[in-house]
Amino acid sequence: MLQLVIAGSLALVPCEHHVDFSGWKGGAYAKFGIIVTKCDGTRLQSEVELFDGSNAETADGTTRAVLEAFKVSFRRVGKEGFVIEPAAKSGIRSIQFVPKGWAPVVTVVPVVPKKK
Amino acid sequence: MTTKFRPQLLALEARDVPAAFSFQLADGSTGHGTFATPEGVDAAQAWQQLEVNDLAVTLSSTEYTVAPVPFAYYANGVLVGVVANTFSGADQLDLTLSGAQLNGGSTAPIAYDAADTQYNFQFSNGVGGTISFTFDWSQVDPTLSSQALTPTAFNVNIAGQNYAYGTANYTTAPTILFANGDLVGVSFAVNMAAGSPLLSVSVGNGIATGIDAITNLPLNSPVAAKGPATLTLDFSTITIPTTGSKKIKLTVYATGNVVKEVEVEIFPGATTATVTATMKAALEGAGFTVSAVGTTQLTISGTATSELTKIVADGDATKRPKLVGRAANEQGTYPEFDY
Repeated sequence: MLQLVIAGSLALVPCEHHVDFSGWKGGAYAKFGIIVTKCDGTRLQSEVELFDGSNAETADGTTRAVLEAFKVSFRRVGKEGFVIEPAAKSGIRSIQFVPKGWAPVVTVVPVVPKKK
Repeated sequence: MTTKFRPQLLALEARDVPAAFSFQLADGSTGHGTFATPEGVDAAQAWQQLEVNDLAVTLSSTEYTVAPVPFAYYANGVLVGVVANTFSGADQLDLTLSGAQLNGGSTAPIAYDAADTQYNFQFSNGVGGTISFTFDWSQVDPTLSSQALTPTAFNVNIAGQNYAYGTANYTTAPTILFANGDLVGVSFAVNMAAGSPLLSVSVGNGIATGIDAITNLPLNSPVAAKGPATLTLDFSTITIPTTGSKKIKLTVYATGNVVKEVEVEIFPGATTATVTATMKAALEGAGFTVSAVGTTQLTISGTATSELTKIVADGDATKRPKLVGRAANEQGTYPEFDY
């Protein structure tokens, strides 16, 4: 019940999606799906493959290129992650990474309005 | 104890939103192009010259190479024009604030559409166009299996003309189509102005149909947006020559019959980071979207209006990059890397 309440609250509160690729250490093969639902209802999808020789920066860079093609705005955070801002700024309703061996860690962080 | 990812703002990425333009030369041939609106457009400034790094220009189905550095000009935040020198073989196509000029011939006016370009199409007679529109997304109902909405603005940019709904001669009003809340397409039909290489253009079921003004025959083209397909290549595997020089050559393929050979020459003393940076500049000069990943990797996408399908590298393992990552297009097909 508490989870339902929290989930319901998050749906109403503007949230940022913090996407962290630092867990990808390379040296193997992995892939993950990306599903983006934009505010206008457009549902976009792609999939990323990572090969031997890749690292967290590769995963970050390849995913960023997908989001740029989907016209999703975000802000860079170091070399291994980025933040997708709330819908009003990013233009997206939701983003989902579907693990197929590995996927980045996504943390949904409610944005607390600044005190006036 | 939980560890939280606490980000620090280092840079704010701009949205990659292509503006579009088109023109029709005196001989009837048509050209068109796109570019992402550069960062820093400021409505408070009377005049701005901003560098453009992904300008793509096509004339009669031939994609022209853009010489550095193209600029876009804005007056109080409104796009005024693009200035660039472009080449294809011996042909030189100049874009100026007065218009487009091929090999020093007469100047043809350019029609711009600074709105977000949503779709583009290219007919076999060399005529290409772009479609832009806006609508009230709060009206989109995800519970409906099919829904048609009237756009709040709609424009087709083709052959040096803008055909805005409300002023142009639309025979089928534009509608934006949804299925379960997902945008699935547009439909419309519009008559072209006198002198256009097409009599009319219509779009339905993802196919654009143009009626050729000379033959009266229909021409079909899929309506497409630039897709997410990318290849991430690692150039740290390339060995630097100790004497003489070495050439690194990539042949890049994209939809719309785009094929570009990109070659860089490296000399003793270079580093793999230099090779990577040089190749990035060369690929961007050929019209491809490229972003650096660290100092020795590049993520390569298609041009502003085409999707990457394949890269072929020449030479042995000491002369070619290694594939380390890639992203599929929306149909789930990955671009290939061959050598």
